[in-house]
Amino acid sequence: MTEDKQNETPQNHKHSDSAEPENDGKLPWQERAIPIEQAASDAEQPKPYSTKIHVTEEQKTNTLLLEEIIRSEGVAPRAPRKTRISQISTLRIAIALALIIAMIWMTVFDLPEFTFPAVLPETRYIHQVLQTTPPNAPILLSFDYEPGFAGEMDPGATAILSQLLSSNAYLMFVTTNPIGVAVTERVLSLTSENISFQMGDPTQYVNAGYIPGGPTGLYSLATSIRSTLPQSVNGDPIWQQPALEDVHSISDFYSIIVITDSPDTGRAWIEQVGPQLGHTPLLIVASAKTEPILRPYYEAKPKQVQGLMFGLRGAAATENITGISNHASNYWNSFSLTVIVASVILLVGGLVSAISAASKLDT
Amino acid sequence: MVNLSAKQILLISITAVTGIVILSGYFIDDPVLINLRAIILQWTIILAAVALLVGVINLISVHFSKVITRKRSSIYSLVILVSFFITLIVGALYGPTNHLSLWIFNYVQLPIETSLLGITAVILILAAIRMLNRRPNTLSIIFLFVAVIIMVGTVSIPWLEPSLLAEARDWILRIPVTGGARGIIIGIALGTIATGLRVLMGADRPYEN
Repeated sequence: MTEDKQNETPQNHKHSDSAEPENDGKLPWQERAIPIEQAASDAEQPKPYSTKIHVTEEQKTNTLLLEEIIRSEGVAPRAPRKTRISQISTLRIAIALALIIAMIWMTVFDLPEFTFPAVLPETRYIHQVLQTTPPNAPILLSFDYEPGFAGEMDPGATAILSQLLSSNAYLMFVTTNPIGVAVTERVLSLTSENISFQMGDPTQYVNAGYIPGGPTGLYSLATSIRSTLPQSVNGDPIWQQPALEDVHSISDFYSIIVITDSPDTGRAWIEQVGPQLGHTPLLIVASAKTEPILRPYYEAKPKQVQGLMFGLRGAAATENITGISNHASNYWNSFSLTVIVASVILLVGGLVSAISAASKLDT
Repeated sequence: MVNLSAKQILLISITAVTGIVILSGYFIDDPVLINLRAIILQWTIILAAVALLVGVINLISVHFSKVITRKRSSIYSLVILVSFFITLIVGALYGPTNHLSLWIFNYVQLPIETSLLGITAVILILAAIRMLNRRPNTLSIIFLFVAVIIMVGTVSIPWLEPSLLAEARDWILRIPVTGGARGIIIGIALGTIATGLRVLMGADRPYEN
């Protein structure tokens, strides 16, 4: 088509101009137009271009990688298949089984026999006070522990209560725990298995019930006992009992005994009631976990608490020196073996854990 | 200068006067002051008992609304409500020392709480073991060894020298533990004094929350 345009010379134009267009039957511009047949024969097919892209191997790899990344975004990762019991659960069950087997072993075979622990001076003092308690001496006892700690606290509580009931002291029970009334009744019931006394006899004891308000309630008890405790849990008047007629302040009691599983409750008794006691001894029977917090009050000079007895160890030592064999003596062997098994598990497990951690660090 | 409303001034005045009356009871042996202090303490005890009751009512209303709206795990709320009303009815009709109340205590509450503590013992042993895996450092090793000495020192092993571990345990409890605990107790006391003074002076007003 381009060549045709170039071939158009001025002579051709002249010739066409001189001819009569009416005769030829063609319009002047039609002569310059390219005939359709010639245009069709001269038309070339478009050059074929390849749709394939020439890429290098590295580009291919990167493309595949990108495709894989994009594809993986739309697919939720498969959760690791859970085994029915994981490793931790197995270890947990193994530890529980080891402890249970140790307890059952001692219950069935009762071997080896563990010796009773030595009596510490702070525990011996409690025993001395209880031994010298005259008949009908008023004693204030507070049961301030949660039922969950009954396994540890009941032996100590029954050991103390057995001695007090044996000496015919007059007991007044209080509690700063809402469930303490039930705990008191339980301990009385347990003690009655070994010591003969009449449950609910108002000439032997009175249950004055719950003191609300925490440390404030204790301070009120220490400063005005009669108005804080007007009546017993059964609604009976407390202060008409002959043994309590002479009790007008908290220092008129022969001794105050607190049985608690909580370091805070122990502290509240020492700090709120202790300063009002004068020469009346404050004795605390507590869970072994409270020892770090309560011991400084005993080690202080002057002592802010006169006697301490901690956990099953203290209860077993007390039963050993009193000769009244009760719950602590029964539990002592099982407790000892279980503690040793727990210690061995701790040591061996700790060693394995440390080695495993060290090997992880190396890799 | 802090701008206080009339209500705030009234509240601060009540708090300060009450606190000063109670505090002065420790230092001044005056019968009027002692009686006043006794009355205020009685009010506090009654309010504490009422607060306990309010707490129980709040707990019940929360679980009641869960049951009504049939929220997830509302079955547990239903169990709480049923247990609460049974215990309440038995306690109200027969008293807290009756054998029925004690049956609920001995055969429901006590076994549940004791079992939970038993599980805690297993979990604590496992946690102590895993501690060395997660944090294998000197302090963890010391922690584990001290725990073992305290535990084994509590009992007397028949085939071992009985006094050795027991003496180690007693030394740990008497010297480092007592020293540390004394520091904590003194810290608590100083914090309590500071808080008390701030409340007395109206700098802290917890009753406004």
